[in-house]
Amino acid sequence: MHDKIDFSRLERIEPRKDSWEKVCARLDSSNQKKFIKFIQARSLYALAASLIVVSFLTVFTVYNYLDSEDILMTNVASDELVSWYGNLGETSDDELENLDTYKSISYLLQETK
Amino acid sequence: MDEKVIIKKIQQGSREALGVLWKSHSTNVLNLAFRMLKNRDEAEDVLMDIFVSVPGKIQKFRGESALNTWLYRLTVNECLMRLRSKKRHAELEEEHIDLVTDSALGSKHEEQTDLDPELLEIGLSKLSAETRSMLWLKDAEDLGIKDLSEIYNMPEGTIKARLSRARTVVKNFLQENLNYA
Repeated sequence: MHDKIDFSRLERIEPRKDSWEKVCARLDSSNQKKFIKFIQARSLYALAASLIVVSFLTVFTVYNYLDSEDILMTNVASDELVSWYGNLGETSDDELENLDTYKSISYLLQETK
Repeated sequence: MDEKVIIKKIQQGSREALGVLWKSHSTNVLNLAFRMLKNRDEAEDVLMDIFVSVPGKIQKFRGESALNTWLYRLTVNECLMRLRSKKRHAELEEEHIDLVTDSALGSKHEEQTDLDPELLEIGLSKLSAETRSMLWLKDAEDLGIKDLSEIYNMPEGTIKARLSRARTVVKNFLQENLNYA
């Protein structure tokens, strides 16, 4: 184009010799930082996952323990004993004379648990 | 190496491909930044920042424009961001005009037959950094209006009008000082 500005006499600079090395160094450093962040993130995920597993196991164990206690109570006590235990205090007579030795011991065992 | 191959390889993380890009475009990027910032060290910083950011930014590059157009756009944006963030655009222009005017106008009687590069620098300093870079890319780097339209995200008509005004400003300045024709 005839009306162009003639830039041919203006200084045209070249990149410094070490510029490319500096770019490479910055890219390497950036990659290292990314790797460290990745490792840190992975450690955090692993820690979070471990906490979740531990919490789950704790809840599960406690639940099982409580559940197993219920089972023990029902297993140990006979229907007659449970009925007698439930009726305690409802009548003037505790019917202690009606309990046989085995039932009395089972009652005492329940009380001491 | 084909441009599309270079793009693909850089996207895959190839340092060698980035090196090829550096060899073919770093001088152009540096000179564009230098024209805008008028500071060698800052231009060199911009060049390095651009190439450090290329592996990340090229992941979103769809190849709709040429690689040099894309690099020029990154450069122009980076330079404008620097000029704005430093809030010294106007001061820098003034400062440089004063500085160069003294030396260039002082020596104009010695070299009246040729175009004094320093005088041209002063003329260019009368333009905004963006317009100056536009004129540089058009007249020194031979980019087309369509490419400039992509780089500056402006309609082609606006680019043409700004270039025309810029040339008039620079030529008038040169004519006033050296009877430049």
